[in-house]
Amino acid sequence: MKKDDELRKKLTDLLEDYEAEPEEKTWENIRAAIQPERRRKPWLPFFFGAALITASVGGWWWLLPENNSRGAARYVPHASEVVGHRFLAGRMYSGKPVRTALAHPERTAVVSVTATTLTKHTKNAPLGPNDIAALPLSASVTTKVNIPGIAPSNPETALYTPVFAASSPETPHFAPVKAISLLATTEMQLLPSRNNPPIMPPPAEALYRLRTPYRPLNYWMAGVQVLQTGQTMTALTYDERTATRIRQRRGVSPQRTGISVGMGYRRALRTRFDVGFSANWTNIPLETRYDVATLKEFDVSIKGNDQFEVTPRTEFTVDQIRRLNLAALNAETGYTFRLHRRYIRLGAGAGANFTLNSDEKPQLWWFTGLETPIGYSKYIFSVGYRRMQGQMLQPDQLLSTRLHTLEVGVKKKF
Amino acid sequence: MSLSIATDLLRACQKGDAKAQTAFYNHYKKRLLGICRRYARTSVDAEDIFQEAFIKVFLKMGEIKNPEAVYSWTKSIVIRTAIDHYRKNKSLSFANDQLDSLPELPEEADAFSVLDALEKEEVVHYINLLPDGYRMIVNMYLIDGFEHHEIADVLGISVGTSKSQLSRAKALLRKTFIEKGIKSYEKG
Repeated sequence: MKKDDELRKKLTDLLEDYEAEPEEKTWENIRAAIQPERRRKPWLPFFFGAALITASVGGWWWLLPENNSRGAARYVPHASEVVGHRFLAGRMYSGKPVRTALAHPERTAVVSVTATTLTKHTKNAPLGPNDIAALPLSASVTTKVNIPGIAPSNPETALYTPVFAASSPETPHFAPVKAISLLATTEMQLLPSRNNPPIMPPPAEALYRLRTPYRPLNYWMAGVQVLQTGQTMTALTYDERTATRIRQRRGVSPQRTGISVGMGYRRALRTRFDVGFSANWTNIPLETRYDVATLKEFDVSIKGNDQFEVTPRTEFTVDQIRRLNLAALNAETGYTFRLHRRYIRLGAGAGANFTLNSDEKPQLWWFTGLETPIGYSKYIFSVGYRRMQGQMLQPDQLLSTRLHTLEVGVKKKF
Repeated sequence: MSLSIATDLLRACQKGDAKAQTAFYNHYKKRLLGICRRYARTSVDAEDIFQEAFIKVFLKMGEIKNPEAVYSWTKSIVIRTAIDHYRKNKSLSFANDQLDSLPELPEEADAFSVLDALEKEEVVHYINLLPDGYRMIVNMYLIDGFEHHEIADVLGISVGTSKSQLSRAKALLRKTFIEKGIKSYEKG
């Protein structure tokens, strides 16, 4: 016992005040973890930028001359005037009069800039090199072109084939990969003709838009998307910890091709409100490569002066492709009102994405935004905010995510 | 650090003052990483434990009522985090099969007298070589002054197991010193 106490005293004296110097980045990691509000600071330039864009567009819109608007507002075009070069007055299309035929879908092009920030992404892992390569702020540009089907069989069916959409980087809230993902969609809208307003050919079109630009249509929608991802995740499993990074894979591969099928319904409520519901199912591949290393097997290199360096030895590599089945339910509503002779549509939506074959909880999101015509043109400006909360299943950890996204876009009908 | 300054620093940290948190970190970082190095198997593990423990310290700092006890409170969090780290990785066991092949060493062959001739880094290195369970008990009992009933409580083992594990850990440590030839060097 005496020897025990002596040993205890000896070791206590020797090592109780033993000190070591931590790495510099450690404090940065700790600070990022304990002060989540710091992570929100990237929002400041983000919001200022958005406010500047909104103010610029808004100012331009308010300063536009309002000539002819009063006279134009009283002007109601006759049916014969609105019959354009594509449709003949008095003719029947699929058994419907020409007024219905004019509900033929338009071509549209949308360009939107999306900025996304991630305010929380850890649950059971500290920030640092072992965490997912997520960025606090990132942005992407998405373009989408809707082209009506070459042969719409009747005016109640609007067949868009294909819809082209491209975005870069492919996934805005991860470390951006310099890739453009292309998306081809076939979308069909079933238009109950009696509730549809006529779409005016130029020049009456601009006038009509000014009066009722957002009068909603009632329609069913069904769509099919073919997805091709260019990304792959590489995970370095190191002593039961994992570092994840996302890389680009070039070329088209059937193994990285997914499919999405959806349908929805949109309906006008009186003249100002509209509601819509949609659901879709997606099957997408998730390709992961694991480099498994362990500290139990390592290479040692002597640096001299009794200094040596230990490097974990990669034991084996696993390539894994698994397919995720995702189901989504979405609801959206809109309210249209007139302000200073312009129409503004306020929209809001919410939804949930379910991952059917994993332990992830449903991903919940909500959206709010507005859209309004720019002057009398065919352009429509939109700005919206989206918040998404959910989980991401990584090779050995479940990460909580909270994404804030600001979307600013311009849509053109032609 | 005087008590009034420590109190002010603690209060500021509890309010989330970034400068105070930095000062707190800078004040305790070396001592606490030293503890992590003793409890961890590798320096990489030590950095992980250190980071995780400090995050816990700042997140739970509001629980501290007595500023005088801040170091011992922080130290206990670091030690518990280290234990949890190896418990989580399922490497913290108290099996005795490592000792089956140990030679019987006479007590008078006092390998621990060599401690006087060793640098701190070297002693820590040899402690790090111990299996996880032994390393925890050596650190808790021989260095950090825990008693066996406290160790039993923290590790979820019996007092008897704690005593026998300590005895085996010391035997293993002694064997390590002898194998490294330090004993003969020290005698020579």
